[in-house]
Amino acid sequence: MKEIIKYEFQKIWSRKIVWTGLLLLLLVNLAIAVLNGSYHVVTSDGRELFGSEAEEYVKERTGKYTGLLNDDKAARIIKEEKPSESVEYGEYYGLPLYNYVQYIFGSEEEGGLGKTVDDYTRKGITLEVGHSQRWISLFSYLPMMILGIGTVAAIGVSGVFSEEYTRRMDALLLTSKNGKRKCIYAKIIASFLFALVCYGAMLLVNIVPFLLKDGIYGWDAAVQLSYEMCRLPYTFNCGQTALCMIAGGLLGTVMITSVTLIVSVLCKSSFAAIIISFTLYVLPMLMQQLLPMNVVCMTPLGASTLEVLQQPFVSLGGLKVLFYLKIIVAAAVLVVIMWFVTRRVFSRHQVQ
Amino acid sequence: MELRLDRLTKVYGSKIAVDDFSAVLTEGVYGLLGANGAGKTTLMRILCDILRPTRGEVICDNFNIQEMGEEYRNLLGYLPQDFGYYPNFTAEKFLLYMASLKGLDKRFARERSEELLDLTGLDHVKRKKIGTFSGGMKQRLGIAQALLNNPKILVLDEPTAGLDPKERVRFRNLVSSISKNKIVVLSTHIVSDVEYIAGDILIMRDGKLIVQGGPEEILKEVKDFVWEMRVPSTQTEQFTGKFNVANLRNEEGMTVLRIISEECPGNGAVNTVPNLEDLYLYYFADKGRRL
Repeated sequence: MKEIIKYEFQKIWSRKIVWTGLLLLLLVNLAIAVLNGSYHVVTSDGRELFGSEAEEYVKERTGKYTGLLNDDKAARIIKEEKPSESVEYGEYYGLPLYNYVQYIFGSEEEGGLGKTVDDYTRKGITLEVGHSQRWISLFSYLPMMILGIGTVAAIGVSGVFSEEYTRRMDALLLTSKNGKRKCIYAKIIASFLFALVCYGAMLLVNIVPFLLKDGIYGWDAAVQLSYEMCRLPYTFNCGQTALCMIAGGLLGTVMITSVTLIVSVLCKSSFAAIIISFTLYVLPMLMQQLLPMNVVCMTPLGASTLEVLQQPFVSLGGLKVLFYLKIIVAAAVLVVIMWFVTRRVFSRHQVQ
Repeated sequence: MELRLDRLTKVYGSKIAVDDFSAVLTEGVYGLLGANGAGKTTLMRILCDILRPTRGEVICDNFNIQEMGEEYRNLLGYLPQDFGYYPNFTAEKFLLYMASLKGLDKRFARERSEELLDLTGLDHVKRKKIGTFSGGMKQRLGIAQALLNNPKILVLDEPTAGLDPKERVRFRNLVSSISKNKIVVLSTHIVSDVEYIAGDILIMRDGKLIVQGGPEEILKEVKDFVWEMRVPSTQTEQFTGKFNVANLRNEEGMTVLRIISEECPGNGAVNTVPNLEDLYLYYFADKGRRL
């Protein structure tokens, strides 16, 4: 069985389209890393800073306010970091902490949501101030990278069954002793291995440089201190958010691999399998406005987004568990369906 | 070992590809002869359990092959008509892959692959990619993979397609040498592929089995129907238009015709000893010319 898995794995990697996809993704990844890595900030007194100088400024100013946030501290941030009259508002790429605090706790007249820290503490939520900007940046492009790697995984896996039909290898496989059982299992295992290797490589390329730069600095900052996550109704920090996104991405990769295997065994051409798989991958996100968000969050791509954290908890015998439990169940169901469908369809395939 | 084909029928919509085909195969070489579209490939696929018959069954030693599953496939070696391969695989890697699918032990697989590459004359290109192979080389590789598990039932569908005469002779000798204690079914429309090696010939037309027997036995069907006659060259066209002409040879201004006909084609025609090609032409000639 190990031998068959080895060959099936090699067959996936030997496809030129897989390498082309990975190379393109790497280039996109590098471009995004360069763009996101370049800090640009205009200080409250109108000085424009770039790169590491800007980054140091942000760290230093944010560092003044680290610790638990309260209403006094929020007011102080808004007052002390407010841009001076001489700086035109539209040009102010200011201190991210100021931007977030102003957005959440600033008065409605000044364009804020008008909340108080008390609104959070009453719900049992504590807000830790820290250097969350680098993490928020990571969260903004991680879903895109997960989309990319999911696409490459779908491309690689699309030919696992469908190419056997187009290459007319189906007759040889299905007349061999292991062709209707072990071969199918080996193809499935090799496909998941391939997808997981791709996912791991994507994490390596994105997370490792991120960690090498400043380690986990700012991991304990509250994720609520951002535009997207300010309504999150429980205490959650940036480190926890990152882990959840990575886990969600992994579940999404498992799901898209399963979907692609089902499509591959049903399609007579790997090109059709790629198109259908990719469409099924991105369609739920494109139809976000029409579908309930909790459904979108259970799809392969939706599972890696921050929206998942904003879904209601799942009750499990008195315990409240993150929505990810539903995604795990959805992924498991999809894997089981894939197992049955691929085994049944391929083993009963009639060679015409 | 016995393979019983019991009233096999395969229908595609309104077309009957295999029509109530019955035969009993025991150890030996069986040549399945038929024109293109006769149903040979469909029958071979049914034999290999990769196509389900509409009616009928294939019984191997009293067990239905569909129920036998892995056990039956373990006995089987198959070379399909359109032999599939992976262009980026080397010949060696391809055989090792097929060996793993056939459940062969890794060490044995390596030894067996070496042996078969040598036997099929591919030893010197074993590390080259299959995509660079000629048609004949690919076909030989196909034969090699079919023999990996030393099958008891060897099904070869048009195995000499793409082979030159020298390779076809080599192939015939190879099949003869490995056919002991095996059931070998070889389908072809090239008579010479089976003429010298098949113990039994099965002739298929329009999905039906029309004749089965040893070469000498079935030749009796056309014993009195093969004629040779010399005609002036100017009359050649007249005869070729009217009769089933198996061969035409120019000799000293005259044309010697070998004619397949149930009736004497003309003055001077003499009966001659028939061969398998004559038999094939008798069954597969254009209808208007057969009598």
